[in-house]
Amino acid sequence: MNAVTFNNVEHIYNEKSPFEIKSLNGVDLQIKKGEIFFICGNTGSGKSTLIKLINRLLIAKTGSIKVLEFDMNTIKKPFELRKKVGMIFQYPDNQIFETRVKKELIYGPEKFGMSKREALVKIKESCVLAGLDYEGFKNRNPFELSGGEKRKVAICSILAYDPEIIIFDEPTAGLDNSSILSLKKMFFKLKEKGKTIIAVSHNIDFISECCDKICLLSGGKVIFSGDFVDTMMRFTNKELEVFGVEKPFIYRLLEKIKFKDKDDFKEKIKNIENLFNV
Amino acid sequence: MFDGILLGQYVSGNSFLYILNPVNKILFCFTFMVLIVCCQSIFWTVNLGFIVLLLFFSAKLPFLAVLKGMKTILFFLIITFIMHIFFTSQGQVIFQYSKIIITLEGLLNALLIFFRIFFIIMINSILTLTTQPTEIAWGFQKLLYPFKIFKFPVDEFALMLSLALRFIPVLFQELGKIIDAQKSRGAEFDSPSFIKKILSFPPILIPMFINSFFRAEEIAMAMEARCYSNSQNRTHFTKIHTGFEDLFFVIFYTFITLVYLYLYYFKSYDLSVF
Repeated sequence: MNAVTFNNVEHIYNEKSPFEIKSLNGVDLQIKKGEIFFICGNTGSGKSTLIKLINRLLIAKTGSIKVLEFDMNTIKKPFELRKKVGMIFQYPDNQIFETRVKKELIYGPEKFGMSKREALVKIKESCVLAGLDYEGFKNRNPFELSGGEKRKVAICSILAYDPEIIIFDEPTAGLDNSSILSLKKMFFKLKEKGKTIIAVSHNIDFISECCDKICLLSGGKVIFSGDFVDTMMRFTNKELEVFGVEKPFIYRLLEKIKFKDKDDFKEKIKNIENLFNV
Repeated sequence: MFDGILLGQYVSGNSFLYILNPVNKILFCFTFMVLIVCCQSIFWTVNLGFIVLLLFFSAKLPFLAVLKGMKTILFFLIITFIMHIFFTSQGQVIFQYSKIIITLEGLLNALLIFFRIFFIIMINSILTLTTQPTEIAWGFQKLLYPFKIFKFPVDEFALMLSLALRFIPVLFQELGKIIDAQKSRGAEFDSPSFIKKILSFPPILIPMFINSFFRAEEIAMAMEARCYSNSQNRTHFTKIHTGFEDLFFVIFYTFITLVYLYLYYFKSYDLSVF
């Protein structure tokens, strides 16, 4: 079953003004429930527009968008939709406003109608998931935290109201290796819980280890959407550069090796992985 | 949320207003704003406004997009309009219901204020739509240059102005991002409840102020790191020239100002009602 379906979606910024920009042009896309779905593309390719449309922060000009049971063309108030679609923005500074981490974490759940007790249980669960020491951080001022800690607070504040779809905008930006590793673990835990994860990223190592499917955007159009291995087989490194990503070393190496079919390709990857103990 | 709002923004183009010297455009704006504010008659205000609109259309500036941007201040325009209608009790009564009295003078006053604000915005739009923020700052720097005699910190003032103008669109973008971030966490900014509306402000204003302070600090450090100083005479990468177009433009608005002053003050063409 699809969590998100885009049918011939078009979006224009600043319509009928000198700054008019067509950001999406005839986008067709399906994201299945429980998938980890990555969106790649260069700056201005329409990635941010696409994820904002899922949360109805923007409204499409034409076409239809269906997110879970909500039809974007008929939905009057997006409140119920946003309860089920959480979005973690690239810069946590844009959402933090409370003086204590605890208050910051409780803001979302309370807005979505959770009781304080229920919210606290969920917050503690989400802190375990995101690797944030709740007891150590709950009384700290969020403005005094480091970039990585702020991001963890932002993630917990969204996970706390238990959305079905979680959207990440550049989740690895500004994170160190250990934080990226814990983020990876969190992605898999969320997948185990049946959550759908949609992420925009340029970090190919992160993508290659986490993703089920990848979508390549260019000039507001979906150029390709499929599983990661298919994508790596289909495009050369130079072609992928157009989408702001670079093939992982192992795939670049395989480009030099001839293979018969997809299974042969997968087998050779496995052999090399075994060789290097990856 | 702020899609297509053009107030205070530069739009690239190639009409005659774009090649004029910024000093010239600032002087034109100042002169016309003073004339419109001093004018007590609707007839003359509309006449001056008509000239502004002529300039606006002849330079092929996006009139409808500017009007769209005025939506944000329409609320204040309507409030001032209503207050003038209902709180002016002197003059010829044209409508009366119980204690509510509308007089001709009140109506004309309301119209006058409405036109004044509208045309002042249009005049400023001519300047901001056709002049880049750095050019506006340069223009002010040149205009304030004589005040250096009185030890007025002209260069610092110009720097402050150019930084402030430069960051208006950036702050608007940031505001949009903050609103999006809070909306996705369940904040409702379009709630009909007044209390809910008031309570929805802190989640926007606090990140906005804190981000602005951090940004200001970063800029200060970046300038310090590159040894920025106003103590020496600074040169400019691009030189702005004064051409024949500027001369014609000066003659144009000086002529209009003199004609207006002659007719309005010396000939007393103050059509009392209009």
